[in-house]
Amino acid sequence: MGNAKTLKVGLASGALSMDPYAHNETATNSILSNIFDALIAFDKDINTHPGLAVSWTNPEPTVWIMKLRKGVKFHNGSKFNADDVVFSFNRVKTWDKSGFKGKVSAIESVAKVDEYTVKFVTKKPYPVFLRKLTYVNILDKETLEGKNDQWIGLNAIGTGPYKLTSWSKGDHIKLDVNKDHWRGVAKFDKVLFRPLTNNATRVAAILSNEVDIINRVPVVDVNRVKSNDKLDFFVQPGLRLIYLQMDQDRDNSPFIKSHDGKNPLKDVRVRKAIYYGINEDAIVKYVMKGFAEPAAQLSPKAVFGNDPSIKRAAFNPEKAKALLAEAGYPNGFEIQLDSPNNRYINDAQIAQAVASSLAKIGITVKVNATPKSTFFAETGKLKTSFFLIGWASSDGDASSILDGCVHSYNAETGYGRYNRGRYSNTKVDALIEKSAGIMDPAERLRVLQAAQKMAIVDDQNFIPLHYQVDIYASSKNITFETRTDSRIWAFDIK
Amino acid sequence: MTKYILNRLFHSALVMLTISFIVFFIMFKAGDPVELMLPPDATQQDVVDMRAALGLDKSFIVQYQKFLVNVSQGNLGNSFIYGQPALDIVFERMPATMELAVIAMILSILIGIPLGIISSIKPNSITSRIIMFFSLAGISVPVFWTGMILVLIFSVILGVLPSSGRGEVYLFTSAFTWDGIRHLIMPVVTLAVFQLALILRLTRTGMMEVLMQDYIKLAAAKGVPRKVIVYYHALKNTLIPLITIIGIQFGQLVAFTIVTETIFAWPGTGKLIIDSIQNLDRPIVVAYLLVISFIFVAINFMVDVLYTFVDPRVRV
Amino acid sequence: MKFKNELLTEYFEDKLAVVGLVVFTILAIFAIAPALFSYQNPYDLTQLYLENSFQAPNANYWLGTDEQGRDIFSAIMYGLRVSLYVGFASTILSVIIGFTLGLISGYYGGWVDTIIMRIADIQLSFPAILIALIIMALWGAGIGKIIIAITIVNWVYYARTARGVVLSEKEKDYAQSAKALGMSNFSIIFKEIMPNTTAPIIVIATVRIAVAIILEATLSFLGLGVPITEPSLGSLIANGYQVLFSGYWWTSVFPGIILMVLIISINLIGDRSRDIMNPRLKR
Repeated sequence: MGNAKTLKVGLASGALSMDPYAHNETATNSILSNIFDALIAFDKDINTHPGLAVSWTNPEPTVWIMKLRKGVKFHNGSKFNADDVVFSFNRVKTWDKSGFKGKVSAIESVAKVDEYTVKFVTKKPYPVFLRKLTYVNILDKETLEGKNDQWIGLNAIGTGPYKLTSWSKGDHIKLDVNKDHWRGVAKFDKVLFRPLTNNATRVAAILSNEVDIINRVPVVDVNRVKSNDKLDFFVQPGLRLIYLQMDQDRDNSPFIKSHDGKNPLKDVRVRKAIYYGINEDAIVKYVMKGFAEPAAQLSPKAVFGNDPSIKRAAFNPEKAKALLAEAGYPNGFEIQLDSPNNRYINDAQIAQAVASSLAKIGITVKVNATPKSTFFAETGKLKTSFFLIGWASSDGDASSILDGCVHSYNAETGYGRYNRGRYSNTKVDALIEKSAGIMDPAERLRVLQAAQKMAIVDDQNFIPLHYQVDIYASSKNITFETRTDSRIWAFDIK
Repeated sequence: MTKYILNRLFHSALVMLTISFIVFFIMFKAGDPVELMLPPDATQQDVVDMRAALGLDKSFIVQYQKFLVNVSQGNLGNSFIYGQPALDIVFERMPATMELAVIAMILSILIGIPLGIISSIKPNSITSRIIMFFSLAGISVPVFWTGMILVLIFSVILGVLPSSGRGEVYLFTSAFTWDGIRHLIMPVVTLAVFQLALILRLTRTGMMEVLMQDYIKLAAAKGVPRKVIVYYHALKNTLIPLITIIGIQFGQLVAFTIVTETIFAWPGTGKLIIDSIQNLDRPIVVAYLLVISFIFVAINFMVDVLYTFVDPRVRV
Repeated sequence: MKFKNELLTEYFEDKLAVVGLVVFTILAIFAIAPALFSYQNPYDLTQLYLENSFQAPNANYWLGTDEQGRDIFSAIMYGLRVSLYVGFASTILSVIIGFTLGLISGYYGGWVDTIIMRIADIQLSFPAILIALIIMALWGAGIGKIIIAITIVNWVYYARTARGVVLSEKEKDYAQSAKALGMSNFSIIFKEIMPNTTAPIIVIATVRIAVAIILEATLSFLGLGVPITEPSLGSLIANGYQVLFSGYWWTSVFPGIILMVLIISINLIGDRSRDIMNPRLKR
């Protein structure tokens, strides 16, 4: 039975630091979003709303004037004003351990105009400016000035609906309600976040009512949770795409053995064959137990840049075999598929299922599933020919995956850092770069869609598998609505 | 005697130094965690900056040197992931692990030794054979299996015990609160089963060997009461090698908390080390291993010294 | 030193030990030729169909299937092979290495002895699972790597034992006379002293094989063991554990039972062997 005063949440992973700039990862961001506010806030459908900024104007393409909310106090009583905004942005841009530099790289400068007005200048016209602002939690200059990183990592002083009371790493995070919060007082007096990383443990906790909410219900436990009449069950289409990248660059790829000694992945027919040859419906049905959305493109519906006209081709092993034969590989070839085993939902099982599918069209796949530390290290060094990976377009805009994975790799500009198959199409690059400066949403959408279509439909640069679905369970005693950005924001829970 | 102690101290320090070198080297080779820490949209420049900020761009020798200098000042570096001093993090989690290990060890000794004695006096009786079979099962079942079955029975099916977490803590331990005890039962039993069986078997073998000795037969012939023979003479001589083994086993126990903590989400160092290895958080791995080695070396040292007092045949 | 026939007869006196031997032999036969007994080759991906996943035990799949459609019965046969292979290979390697190093260390003494024993000490300062964990976590999965990791963990025990025996034997008359007679050190070690070390080594080996198998299972449980497409008993249990509480108990319970039975049978054999070889237990 849920305690009306304390909300207990069982999470799949805990926070890594109380410093909101240290790690850009979902679990930490989710927990800290209860303690801090940013200038702009996302609602549960990742639409932007005023946060600590109440209004703004965009007088020139690269200039934004933000008016700040008045009368807001930090948890320790300190006043919120423009100085704090300037301090925060400078820190997030220049602190050497900041994990959010990429989010603010387009911001050239930030300056105080008056106590409640701030002026931002971006390097170029920047259509996704407001979305990027949601990532920068505002810190208190007066409190943090002169403190070292360690102190900041332990002491979270924000303006958010809850204050940090205690943090025992890996065990719990205790929050108390902020009675002076500008949105009002949240319903629950206390919130207790408990990292329960072991799947079975987390499910056991909600079934035995030790917690009121859990996230990331494992797909195999859905039936047990659903059949429990004290629990509500939620499915939220997520932002993370699970897909396969292929080495399209090297003539001699390290983990491929083909009869002619060449790299079959360089031929679009082979890539298409792989696409047709994977029984994704079976993967969704049996490995994900129905809790995944088969994907045909890079951006899910919630992300700006999604193209409703692109549909996933049906599983067609005959066509796949024909394509392989046409490309000169009637008897297939041997290849290794690398995958992490502890990063994405059922990642290793998905890789095995992919291998099993491809085995039946003649491609012999060896699965190398490793812990994420090894996986990211090896794939980062390009010691891979074919690998499974995920991407969450968490700011709701297609530019993130296009810039990071589809654009040709370019060490100086930072494009294509995760394009580890080294796919390269200059026409696609041109479209992506063009879209970065278009301020008109309709025009920008067209260009983003064109870039995506060329890459994924014409070139088959990746093999999209599915979008992860976030599954939650909560006690019937509370009212809980899931969010597209996978965060658990206690203020909205009643 | 002093010379012996100093000698041992010197060797112990050497052991710790070597361990630190090996671990540091292995973690160095494993790669740096920057890739894992930064989000996908970070640029190559961010990677370079972060690497430099963590000091990972220097050569191995330079990094190891810096490490040694810091160690001499009691600083084992800051965790790459948490940004806090690695030693602090390890110590923060130590009480939880020690709690499990110590209670499990006490339980194994309190139950294992008596049962071992009983089964050694009349080795072929029904009681003994039953005890022996269960002890065999005890050392044949991997720790993770025991844990799994316990959670299945007591949490999922019966619903009487919590499946995870540590209970309320009072005076550094959760053993003084009822809530704490409820959370402690299964992890402790999981850890203790193997230990108990091992101690039981060692006690039994040890006692049986001793009871064969001539001096025991002599004592029986002289009319010394059976109870005295068993519980005083035989036990005393069995305990000596047993102490050594218990000492070593304590270290193993601490290591097996890794598996137990994973299953029960127990907030101890075991869970910390697995996560840190996976995250390539070298300072924590090194700090943890040094602390563990220190505990081992200290225990071995104490056992050795104890031995010299207890066993008159051992001369320094 | 007793004669072989005597030892064997004594062994068979204990009914339980005989049961252990029989069970172990059966499991070993399964492990050596799993293809003869199993329905499918679970390592061959063309034989796995997702549509068959998570079937409860039925007429087609006696022990049910796992999440990839693997027949659990077949997977146990093949998994047994991996577990036994890893256990025995690592033990044999450890014995060879540990034995040799221990003999050399004990016989020659001096700085060779000091170095080898220091290394052993350092290793014994470490819980085995930690060593293996670090090696596997950083080196990656693979049967070869596990065998090496477990060997690195285990050689110390054999080395210490061998050294202990050599130290006490080398002062004895027969060894001294051999030396006086001009026999080379090598010959002395291997012809005269070594036979006296076999009994203690066997005693330790029987314990360590079980430990090696448990260690591999634990590493696989933690996700650091064999590759996932060639599961050992430990990884089958680990995969099954994820879904154990969801009602798919057969994927974990059956491999777990077989693993337990395997280790119990090895320990029964080991126990009996130790009892009959231990000179101090003779009445």
